[in-house]
Amino acid sequence: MTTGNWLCAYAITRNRPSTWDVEPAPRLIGYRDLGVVVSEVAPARFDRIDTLDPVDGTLAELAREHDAVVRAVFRSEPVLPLRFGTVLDGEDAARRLLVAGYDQARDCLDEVAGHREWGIRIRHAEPAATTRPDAAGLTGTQYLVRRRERLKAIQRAREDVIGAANRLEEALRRQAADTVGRARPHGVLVNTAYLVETSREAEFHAEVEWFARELRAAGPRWRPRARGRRIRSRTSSSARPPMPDTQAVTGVPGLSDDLLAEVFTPTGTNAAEAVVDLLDRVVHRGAVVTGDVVISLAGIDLVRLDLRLLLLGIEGTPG
Amino acid sequence: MTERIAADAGRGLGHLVVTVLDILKEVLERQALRRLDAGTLTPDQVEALGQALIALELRFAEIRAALDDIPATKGPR
Repeated sequence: MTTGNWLCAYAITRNRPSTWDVEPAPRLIGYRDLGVVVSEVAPARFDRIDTLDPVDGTLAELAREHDAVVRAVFRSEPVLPLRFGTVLDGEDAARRLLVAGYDQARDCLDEVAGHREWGIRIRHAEPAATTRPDAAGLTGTQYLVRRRERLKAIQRAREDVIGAANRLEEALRRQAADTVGRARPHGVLVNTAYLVETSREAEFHAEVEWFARELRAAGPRWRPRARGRRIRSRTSSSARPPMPDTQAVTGVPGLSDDLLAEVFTPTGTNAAEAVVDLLDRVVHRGAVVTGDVVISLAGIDLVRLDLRLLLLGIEGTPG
Repeated sequence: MTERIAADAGRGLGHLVVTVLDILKEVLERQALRRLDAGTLTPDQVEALGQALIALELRFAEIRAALDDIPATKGPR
């Protein structure tokens, strides 16, 4: 690979002369009716990717540039974003990329033209199940009954919200030309990208608004999220790999900021509660554990545990 | 297959133990509630279970408060 003439490649789009409102201005390398948006990049910039600082690090800076270019191109043309960090060794390499992926890229562009992709992400935050009623002055029976009511209320709220989220997904799917499910980390109920025809966007948004109200109504346990946005739009309308997307995100103009409920932190009490839930199910169904464990201190084996363990909740037979 | 655990691997052992016991207490509570729902407990047993859980809850709060008082160098993290 030669040095000094690297091209950072951002996206594939139509081969039409245009100027994009972004600095530094990228340029288009064309092949037939397709073009790849690139800009010169000094290899030295990639030498400094030694920090994972998500806000100020070199990597974050590069990612923001990538995102800005993809957005700018999208304002005038349909666009297939390339994976962030795609670097090409000169113009010939860019053309080879277009030649190799020509048919697929053109089909994808035709498919996404006149569409926008909207990402919908709903997070779920539950009240802490470990919050205790004030035990003072309660009899043991009252305490147990209150705990039961609380756990049941949490369970009901969870089912309501999951139901609403499923109906939302179903309703949005009907409005969309295509959908792609994305990874759902713990606590995320919906994380789906919808390819929506521009003419149907109003209906799509109305659907989202309607369900947002339902989700909020699912209980006071759903605090409105104070910051950030739940509705994300990717600036481009990419199809599936091998035309990978950048997953740039932005807010949606016109939709209220606290549209959907809720924040979730997969740490602290919630993580412990997940363990409790899991153990509760395990105990309820029963589990057999066998194992051979040697406990060592300072590298010296000291204790050997030969386990034949049965774990089972006692259901209690009357009488 | 033999798993080796280094017993001197971590600090904050007190907090770890309390967390594990706390989880065990939660599991016991859920199991108690299942029994309550199943109706296989006498009212006296229900009352005794509730009292025991209240007592455990208070005791855990005390232990946590005591652990938090230990200077940070000896505590977790």
